[in-house]
Amino acid sequence: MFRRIAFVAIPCLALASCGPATVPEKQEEAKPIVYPAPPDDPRFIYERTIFSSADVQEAGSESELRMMLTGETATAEGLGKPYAVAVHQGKVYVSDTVDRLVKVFDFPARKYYKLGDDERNPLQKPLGIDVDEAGNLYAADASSKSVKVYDPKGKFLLAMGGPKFFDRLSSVTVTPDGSRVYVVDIGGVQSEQHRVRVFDGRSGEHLFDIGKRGGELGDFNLPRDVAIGKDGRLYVVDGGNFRVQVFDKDGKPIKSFGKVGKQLGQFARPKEIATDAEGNVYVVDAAFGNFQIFNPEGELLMYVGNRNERGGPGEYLLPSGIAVDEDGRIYFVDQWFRKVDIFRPYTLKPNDGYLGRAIFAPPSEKK
Amino acid sequence: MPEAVKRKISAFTLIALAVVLGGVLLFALPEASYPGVRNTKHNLMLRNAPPGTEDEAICVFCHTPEDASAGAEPAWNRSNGSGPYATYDDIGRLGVGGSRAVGSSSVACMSCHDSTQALGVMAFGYDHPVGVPYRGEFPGHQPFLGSGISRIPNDLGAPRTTTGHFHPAMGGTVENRRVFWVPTSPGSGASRRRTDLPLYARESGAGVVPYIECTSCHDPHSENETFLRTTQIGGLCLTCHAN
Repeated sequence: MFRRIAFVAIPCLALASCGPATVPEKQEEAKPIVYPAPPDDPRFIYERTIFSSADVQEAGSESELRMMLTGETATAEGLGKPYAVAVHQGKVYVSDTVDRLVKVFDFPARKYYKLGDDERNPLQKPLGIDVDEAGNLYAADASSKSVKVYDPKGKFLLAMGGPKFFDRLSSVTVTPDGSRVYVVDIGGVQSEQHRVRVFDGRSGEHLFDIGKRGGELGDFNLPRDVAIGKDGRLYVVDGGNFRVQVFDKDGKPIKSFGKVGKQLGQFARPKEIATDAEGNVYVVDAAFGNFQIFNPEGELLMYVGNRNERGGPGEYLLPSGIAVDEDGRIYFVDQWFRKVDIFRPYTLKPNDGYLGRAIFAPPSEKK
Repeated sequence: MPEAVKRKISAFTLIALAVVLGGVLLFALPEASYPGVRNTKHNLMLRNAPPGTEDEAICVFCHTPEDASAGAEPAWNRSNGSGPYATYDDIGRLGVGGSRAVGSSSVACMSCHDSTQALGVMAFGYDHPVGVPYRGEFPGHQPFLGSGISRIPNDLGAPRTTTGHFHPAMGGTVENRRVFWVPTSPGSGASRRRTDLPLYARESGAGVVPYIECTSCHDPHSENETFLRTTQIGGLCLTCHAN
């Protein structure tokens, strides 16, 4: 019941408004969608999509019995306008700029809940989010111009920054040990404060800044997001200069790659960025409806996704956020279709990794 | 012909000419001037860019240039990875010149209006009615006229009453493609003026249907603060809405 609602009703609402009104065809289960397509060796396989709370919750026998007796129908809470995604051991966090919350799809616990709706420290407009190894969540709250930190149970810990520090906050990235927090000030068109501000993760103290507005190596024009890659390098999406800039961990510029255009390896509307365990770099482009994967030196390896008004697996109109989890699974957000597509490394079994084990765990072992 | 009569004719001719020319100019020129985006928030150029570089680069933030180069060869996808990537329709003419645009010009707007560098915008029924079919009558829509019901699917897939609520749209053909607009004043005939509000054609089961997109009401190149196509109070809304 729940899955039927998630996979049919919500996409229909979105589709009817955005293009020719067609009922999506029933998904064929037989043929897996792999990337890249044959004859090249497959690297990733489309696994599943998160549309709503129904995708993580189970209809237990108790609720099914209640529904049968009372006629109550199942309800699912979808995504308003998702922006970014972060994942920690099977727990998927999605920031939502319309519902002004971070929505948590906790697969190991089969629970859905929300962060940022407490009265004392509400999230007002969460954009970029990240998690550290301990499972603390860091949310860039654009309206309060601060980064808000929550422990793994969802308890508010502290806020960093504030209106004095940022013109327009867009994203946050934390080192795995939580010691350093990189916060992106996208600045805005009429600001000269386009930079990455670095904070101490424990105390919240401001340490130093990286970059200024400009077009030279190390400068930014509308920077969007940071990812930490090989050897602690920082990969910064420099949106208005249509490139990714590479810095060492202390902010010294090393190189950049990409330029404006529609060809492979170029950028038109680059958004969020992520890295995997090998240091490969994943860059979302809203114009292309895909993410491109580069090696640590910025050489293109492949791309995943294409523009399509249907919004099926691997089809996008307005992608924004991306995350790669501990097992190499990719989580990819689309704002138009209000979904998170998940891709699994081809060599990883469906029931392996944090997410796979959580989904395939027998009921007795569920947390 | 007496001199006085000649002078009268001459004066009359001049006045008539002035009226005609004035009228032509009034209708020929857009209501808003088009000085470019340089002085607007849609100028994403560096403020300290050297003079002269703006003209080349100011457009690329919305209109991605076609690069003739082959692009990178993806090491993991040598067999079928080829460019250019299909992008959204950033000029409002789907498929013109065989381009591979997918998605309306509204998607181009929302690619920046995502709450980061610019205010966030929601489509559908949330805060902006973009990506919805025009509710008024329009050329090619005659089978449904008189019924009082538009059978063009709306965002909930149900018919909706339109008669009397929306002004009729006009239509024409450019390069074998249907174009639609809503005239800003009645009696403008079948020719479109720059002040008229553009609608954007999409293929659907009902044929080619005009849609409302962001750029129906907004001109992203305009110098007016909200980028509206007209700042006349009520003028913009009442172009489409009859009441």
